[in-house]
Amino acid sequence: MSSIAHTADHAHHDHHENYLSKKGIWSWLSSVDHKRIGLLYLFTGLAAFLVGGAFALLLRTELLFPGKTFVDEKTYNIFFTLHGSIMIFVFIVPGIVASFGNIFMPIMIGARDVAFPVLNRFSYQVYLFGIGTILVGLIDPFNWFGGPADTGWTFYTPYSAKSNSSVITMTLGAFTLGFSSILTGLNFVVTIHKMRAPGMTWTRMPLFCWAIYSTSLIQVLATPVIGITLFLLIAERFFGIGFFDPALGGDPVLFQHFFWFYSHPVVYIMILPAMGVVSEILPVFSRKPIFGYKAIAWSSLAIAGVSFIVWAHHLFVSTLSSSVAIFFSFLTYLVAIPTAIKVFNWISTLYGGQISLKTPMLWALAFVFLFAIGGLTGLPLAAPAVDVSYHDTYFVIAHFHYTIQGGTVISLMAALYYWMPKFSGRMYNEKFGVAAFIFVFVGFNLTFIPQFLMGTQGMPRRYYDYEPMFHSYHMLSTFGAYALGLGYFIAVMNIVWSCFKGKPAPQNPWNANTLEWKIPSPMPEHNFHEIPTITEWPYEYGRDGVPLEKKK
Amino acid sequence: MSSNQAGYTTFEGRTVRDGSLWGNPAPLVYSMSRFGMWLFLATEILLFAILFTAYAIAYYRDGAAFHASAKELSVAFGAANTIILLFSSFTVAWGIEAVKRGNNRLMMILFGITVVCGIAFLVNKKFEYSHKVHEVELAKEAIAPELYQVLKSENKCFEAFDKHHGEDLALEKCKVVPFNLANIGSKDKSKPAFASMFFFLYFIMTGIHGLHIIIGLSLLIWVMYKGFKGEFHPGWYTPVEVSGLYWHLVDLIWIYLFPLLYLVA
Repeated sequence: MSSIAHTADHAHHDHHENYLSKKGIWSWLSSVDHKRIGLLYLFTGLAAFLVGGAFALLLRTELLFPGKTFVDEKTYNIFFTLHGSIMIFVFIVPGIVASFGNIFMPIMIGARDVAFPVLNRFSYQVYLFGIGTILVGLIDPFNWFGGPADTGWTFYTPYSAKSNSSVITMTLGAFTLGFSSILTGLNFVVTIHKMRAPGMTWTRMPLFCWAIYSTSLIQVLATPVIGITLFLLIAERFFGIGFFDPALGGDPVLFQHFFWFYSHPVVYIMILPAMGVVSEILPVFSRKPIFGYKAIAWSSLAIAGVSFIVWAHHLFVSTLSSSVAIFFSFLTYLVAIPTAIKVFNWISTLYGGQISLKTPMLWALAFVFLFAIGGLTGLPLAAPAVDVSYHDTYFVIAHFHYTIQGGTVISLMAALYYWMPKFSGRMYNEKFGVAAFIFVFVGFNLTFIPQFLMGTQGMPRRYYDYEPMFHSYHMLSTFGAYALGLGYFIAVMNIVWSCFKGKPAPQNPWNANTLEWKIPSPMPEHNFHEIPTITEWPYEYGRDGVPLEKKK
Repeated sequence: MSSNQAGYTTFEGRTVRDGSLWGNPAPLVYSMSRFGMWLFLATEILLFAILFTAYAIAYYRDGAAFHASAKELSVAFGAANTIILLFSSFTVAWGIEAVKRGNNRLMMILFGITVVCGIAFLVNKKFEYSHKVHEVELAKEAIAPELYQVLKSENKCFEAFDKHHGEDLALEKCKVVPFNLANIGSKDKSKPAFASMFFFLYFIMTGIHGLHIIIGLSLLIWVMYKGFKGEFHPGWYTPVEVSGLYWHLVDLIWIYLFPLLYLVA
């Protein structure tokens, strides 16, 4: 009785004093509070997501009919460059790790902030600056730098060395965003190593933190490579020296090697935190301890490790000798092992649980389903003989979107709905949440299943025009994309609206067990009144909905 | 001691900050900062690793051009810079030891010597660069005066390409003129691209290294400023040690650049 009264008193006290209390835009931009910085990342990212998504819809609209639908070829190139670059560099790479990683990782390990709070704020400032730079390069409305970039997000040479568009500005933007990513990763690695609460051993750490840790390691170790590669490209264009341009004696394949040495690990920067989110949500909503904690934790690190030695599978048709191709093919198949370990552990966690289909759980289940499809369609692409046919077709596009959109974005939505009551102190609207989910799930499959089919029949990616035989597929895909866009729009707007107008959320609406649910919603400015001492892992969920003592 | 408020301590009769930051005690801040800097150094090494890889690949394609081109560089300048940097690393290490023992003044003297060494290094580099650039301009003008004027006015080679597309002669000139620095002194002209690759790498690698020198110098000057204000004491010298670590990396990278660029001839 007294403890209830105490909690209520506490809640009342903190209602007036939490990390959201200070008002004004300056209080946000000057804040070094990890929760505020995380929220800034989150909403900047979501805005970029809606913009990038709008360009995807324009792309799909153009592809509704063969030939010209409403824009010319050049504009189409600019559209897909905008879509790819905004989604990859601005939204999905910082995506979950910089937003939810920032907001919740320090709380989950029982710390008051990240290791270097000022550096954290600096990362966000660099991120904003990078967005500004990349947008100038991507849009360039007044033709200051040669017009909007049209190289695609991969900047492949020799085209990117020769294109008259504003490639330099755009690569500088990507370079700057990479710098922000390095600093965030560095901050998180140090935080997880040095700032865990007493008793928070590595094996008691929530799986989300393991995922953030693995991600941060990749960020720290892979991002410098793309930085210097883009720098070489800039130097090549600026001084006219042929390092990658074959006409000047350079080697365009070298660029591809350097580029993918970063850009393959970066897909794991995108997907690992998503896996961490799902590992948190599934046990909570099936009221069962997570199955195979250590396997999931170590498989995150294994994926991070293997991610560095598989890059050349993007180059199976780029003069890679067949013996090297076999080697990289084998290494690529290795990625499937830790990934499958995770999927099987998630399914085992669900097995026999009391599954409650709240919105976060719906997204999380969709993640497992869609990501499994994405992963399985990656296997044929990892086989050099098959990849020769599938390379640069819509099959690759569909595979990529099943892993990154079906994986990361869906998981980001799960995280958004799961943690929204905590970071805003208000509940979302369940009906709109479910409706958005249905639109996204149906729309997603409608968009990308036809793309798998087209790809197997040879529809090349990035093409402006297509054979009439693909018309019905493209129609289906475009209509799916509209449903998908509508679904995401509802999903995000539901969150934004509820952040201000939703019903007040209780401290622990999901009866979850990780540390962030043991402090009031929204969180107090310094997270904990007293740093907690951890005595058990967080996954002791019993069948009656009440956490049990850990059995020895 | 008891009169000190939280976050402060007494050193040599003065009240100084005890080094705790954001509620973290000084030893934790020290170990976090060191760990963070080591991680950052790892990213720096990866950054240069790509340049070394590029060097290795270009060298593998045409090592002879590299040998020939490297002869154009002055070993004396490079060796002088190596000695300067090695000595500056020594003074930094000594400075860190001094501040650990509470000798702020000695640290500032030693860091001052380091800063002078760093500036000497940059001045040296400036002479080397302007010498090279001058040679390049001379070579360009000598080999193809009219194209040189075009390039100089537009500062872009690919436009010259577009204009002369299909004309082998112009293409060949464009290839030779702006890039083939190894042609200086009438060396082998048959392999222009890879020879120019050497100088491309030379300017990029030493340029990025020079940028690191400037960042390192700024760090050291910032540390000296803090030392001047008397902030450091045996319980708190984290910025000194972390900046020193960074300076050692700058030195270490030069140790690799020197043989690769100057001694490869």
